[in-house]
Amino acid sequence: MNDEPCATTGLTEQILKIRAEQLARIRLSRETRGDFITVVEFRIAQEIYAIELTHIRTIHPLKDLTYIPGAPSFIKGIFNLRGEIISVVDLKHFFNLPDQKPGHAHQVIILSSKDMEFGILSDAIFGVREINTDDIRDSLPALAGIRQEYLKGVTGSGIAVLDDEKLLNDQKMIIFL
Amino acid sequence: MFRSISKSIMAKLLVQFFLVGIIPLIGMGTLTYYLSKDAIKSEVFQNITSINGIKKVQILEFLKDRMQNLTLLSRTQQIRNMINNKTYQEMSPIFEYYMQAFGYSDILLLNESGQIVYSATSNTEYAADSKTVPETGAALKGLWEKIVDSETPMMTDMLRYKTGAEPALFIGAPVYADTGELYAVLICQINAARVSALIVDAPSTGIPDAGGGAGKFKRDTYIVGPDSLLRTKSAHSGNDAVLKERVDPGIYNLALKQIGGTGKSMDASGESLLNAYSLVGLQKAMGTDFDWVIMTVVNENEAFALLHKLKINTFGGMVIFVLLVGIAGIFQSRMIARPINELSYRVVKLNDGDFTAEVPLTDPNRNDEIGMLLRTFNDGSKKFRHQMKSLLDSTNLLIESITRISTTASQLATSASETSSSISEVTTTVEEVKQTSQVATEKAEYVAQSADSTTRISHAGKQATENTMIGIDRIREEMNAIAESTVQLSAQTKSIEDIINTVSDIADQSNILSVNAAIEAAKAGEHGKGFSVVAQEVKSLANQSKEATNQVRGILSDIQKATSAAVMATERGTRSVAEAIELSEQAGNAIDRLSGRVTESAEAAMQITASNQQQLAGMDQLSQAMESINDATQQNLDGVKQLEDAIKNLEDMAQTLKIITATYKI
Repeated sequence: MNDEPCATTGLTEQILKIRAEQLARIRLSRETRGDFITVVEFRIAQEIYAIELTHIRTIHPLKDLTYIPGAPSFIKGIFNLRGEIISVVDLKHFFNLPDQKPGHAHQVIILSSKDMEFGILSDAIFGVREINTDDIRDSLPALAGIRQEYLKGVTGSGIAVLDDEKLLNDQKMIIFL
Repeated sequence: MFRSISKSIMAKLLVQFFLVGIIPLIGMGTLTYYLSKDAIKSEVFQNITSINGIKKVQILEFLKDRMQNLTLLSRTQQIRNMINNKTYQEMSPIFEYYMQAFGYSDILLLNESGQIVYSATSNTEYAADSKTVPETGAALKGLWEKIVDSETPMMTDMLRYKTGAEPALFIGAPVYADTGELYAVLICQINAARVSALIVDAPSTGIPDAGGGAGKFKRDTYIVGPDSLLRTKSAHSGNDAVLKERVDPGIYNLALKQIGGTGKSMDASGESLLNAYSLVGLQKAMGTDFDWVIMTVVNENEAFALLHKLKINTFGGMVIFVLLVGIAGIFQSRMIARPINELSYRVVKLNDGDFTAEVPLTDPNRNDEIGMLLRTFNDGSKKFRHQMKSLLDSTNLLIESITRISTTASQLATSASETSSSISEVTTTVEEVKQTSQVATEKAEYVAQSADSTTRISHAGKQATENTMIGIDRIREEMNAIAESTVQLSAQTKSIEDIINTVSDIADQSNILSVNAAIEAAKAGEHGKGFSVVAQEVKSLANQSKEATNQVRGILSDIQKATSAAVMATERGTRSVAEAIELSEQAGNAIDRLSGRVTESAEAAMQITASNQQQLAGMDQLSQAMESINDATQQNLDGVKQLEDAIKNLEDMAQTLKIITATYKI
């Protein structure tokens, strides 16, 4: 390394210059792109989903779930949220995904609109982040089936963005016992 | 030739057939011929005899009748009147009638002086004194004299009363005058031809031929006088023969003697004749001084022509029958002899040992004894062949077995000698064993001594192990203390883990709280921007505390692992101590047992010494027994040698048997 100090210095400078250019371009593109949406990122089974904050009321750890006999399999049960009875939907059953091992800590994402309120069972919450709407693409053929109806699209990093409006307005979620 | 006949059964059979066929045939033929010949002969003779008899009666009756008639005539008044009155002519018709009715040739009247006074034929009266009176022939004169003498009717023999006259006989009867004196003789003449006609004209007399066939021959009957001259004509000679032809005078004499009979004679031409003759009996019946013999003859050849034919037929038939018998004999003897020849040929082959011979059956359905014999022979030879084959097989098997026995015997011999040498070895070994047992006795005594010292040493060992056990007990107590402190440590780490879990839970709740805060901040819009940053910070703190708890949890789990290992180690130590205690107890027990055993060994050594003494005695006995076994083995060897000799003989015999059976062809 000591034999050729000039050459090494030149190469380092060149690399640094390229990086700087790249960073500058990204910022430029972010400014030029369209709207951003804020989403909560979470995991169901082995897949990562995202849902917009618009209709999320709160996130609550799942405690004292009561099973309802005779309900469809995607209705996991009901639980008490500060004196309010909330039904919990298990999207794994709704989307016909493989069942996860039980005994794991769950969180419930509570969606709420004027007419409807229920919780979605999630295996883990990663946090809140912003997603560029241009980055959302049509869903992959691998996600075909019932899921596709409830998806807005898939981001470049493979996050499935759920359509919260459709889920809330879906007639299947209204259950009479 | 004779030898070949005696050899061949066919020739014998043929000869027998010929003999059986021909002898009775010839016998019967000959017998029949001779019997027939005799019958025919006797019939011929009977025939001619009966004809002869009939003729005799005829002639006799004829003459007697004539004589009676003449007598009746001579006694009539008319005759007397005629003589008295000499009226001969008036009587002529009566004489005519008589001559015609009775066949007289002439009726003569002779006066008392014997002169012919009247002849009816010529109707002539002769004066008694005149010279015209024909000379009465000597014969007539004789007759007259006889009649005058005897005063009875008389008859003369056949004669010619004068030369050239026909031969004739005369019957005379006396004529008595009214006074009763004889004064004339009435004589009738009967020609030979008349008599001949009576005899010769046989068919007209109505006499049947006696017998059917025998009457077909020509026969001839004639009368012979005492001079052996013919009195009647014969068939072959005619009237001229009367009083001319002569027959064998012997016959007449024979007839005189025997009155009747048969015989053979020869005629003039030399031909053989059969004759029957009989005395007519004139002397008896009519009182003549002569007699006639009546003869009936036939030509022998003619009479026996039938016999000749019979002979030809009989012997001709015989020849034909002989030929037939011969042919039948040849066929029959061939039928019998041929299979027997075949059979004998096979039997000869069988004798030479060839059993393949089978008699070819020309007629397989032949059910007589020969057929059965041939079939039985074939069956028998087949069976014999089969048996012979099994015999051969058995012989081969026998030879094989003998070879094996021989091998075994030699092996036996070898093993016997081996046994012998082994016995010698055993004897040697017994001696050695004897020495060895002596050595063993010495050793056992030594063992008893060392057992005593060993017992003492083992007592010391037991003491040492007891000391060891006390030390180990102390170690065990220390180990228990270590185990208790380790368990306490483990419980403390557990409480640390609980605290860490609580911290981790708090971190999780903080995380959710931060998310909810972010949500609330986002809902607040621009006003919540600062709160959003705070929420971000809270989240990062929650994450850090989570990581810290994770690190602590990792360390804690290491501690837990270490304490568990320590617990395990102390447990192992405790267990090892317990094992050590057990082992040292076992060592103590072992030393105890060892000392017991050593004592037992000492006792055993004593027993060994005693038993060695017994063994020595036993070895002596064994040595003696070995000697007797050796003797027995020697005998055994001799026996095996004899056995080998016997097997050798057996082998020779089997070879001989094989050679014998090999001569048979099957």
